[in-house]
Amino acid sequence: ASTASPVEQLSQLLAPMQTLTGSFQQTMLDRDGELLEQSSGLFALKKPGRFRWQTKTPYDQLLVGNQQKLWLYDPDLEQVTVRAVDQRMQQTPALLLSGEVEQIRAQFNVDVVESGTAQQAFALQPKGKNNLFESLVVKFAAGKLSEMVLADSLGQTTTIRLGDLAVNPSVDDQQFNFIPPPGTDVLVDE
Amino acid sequence: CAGQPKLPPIDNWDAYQQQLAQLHNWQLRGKLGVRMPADSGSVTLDWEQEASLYAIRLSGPFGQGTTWIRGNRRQVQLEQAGQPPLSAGTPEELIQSALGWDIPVRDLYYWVRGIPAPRAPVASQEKTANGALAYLEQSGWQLSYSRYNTVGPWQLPGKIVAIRDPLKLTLVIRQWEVGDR
Repeated sequence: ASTASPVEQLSQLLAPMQTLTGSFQQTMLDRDGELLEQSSGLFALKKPGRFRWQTKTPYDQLLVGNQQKLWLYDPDLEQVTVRAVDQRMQQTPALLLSGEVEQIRAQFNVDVVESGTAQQAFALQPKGKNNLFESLVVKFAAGKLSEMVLADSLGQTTTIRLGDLAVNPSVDDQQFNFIPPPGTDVLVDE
Repeated sequence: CAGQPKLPPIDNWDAYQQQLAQLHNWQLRGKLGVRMPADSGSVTLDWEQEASLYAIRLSGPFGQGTTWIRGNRRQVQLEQAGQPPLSAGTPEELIQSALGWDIPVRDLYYWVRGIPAPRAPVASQEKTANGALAYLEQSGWQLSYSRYNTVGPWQLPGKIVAIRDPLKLTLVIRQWEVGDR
């Protein structure tokens, strides 16, 4: 195995990715492994710190983040919540992937859980207390990001499987800005 | 509007309301939007009712910040990712202390099914063409109902907007299950 530290190995895999687009399948299981919820949609990531997470089934929901604001838009509720991007949100998986190595090192303990030629996997433990999740495993297949698994303190796991990946396509910055349609309740949350 | 399934009319509202109030086994899945001065948000909502036992799950994006509220008539417990569990006498107390939201759970127990809570007076109500509730004013809340669907013998709402200034709750229910499983 290479002598690089786990964080360095992780960052070597994340480094070539300036932008990433694709589809996702999200599956939530409770502590007994019972299926709680399944959803799917499309995503786009752009360094630094910008992401777009569009859930399409079974409901519509759009999460857009740039380095200032985070929008959570629910067309069925005709509502968008706008929040400043705060420290805690740095732990959102999407922000993690478009984040910089120093941010990752500052906020997580990183261990290698798998390092074959075809597959690599890293376990990230957030530093600090009462976090949204207790561990995040990030998996790569053939050097490409393939899956993320979040586990929270209640034993719930959320598995996000990525597909149809395009690495470094050109992605317009407007994708990471959200203009609420007329009639939307805009709820600003300090 | 076009596309709405033809709903059978409710001819005897009082009987319909009483029977539906007795229904103890149901589950709804959907979304809850909360507008409050300090802390707005939206979560996916899963509410399962079996006799007097209930389990309500609220989850944010990526399943983060999941909150479970489980209880019966006497006591209720709330579990939230990253926090110690809490218990109290009423779900309202728990949600207020854990999330800072005023959610009238014991009234919503009836309101989500499109019927008034039986023990409190009804300030005013209006019906749809088919005899289901279109508008209800009760216990200081104003509720507007829409997108009814037929579920077995019942007409159950797909969207509910509940307002008690400055609080606004929007419930969109995408799936109803009724009866024993």
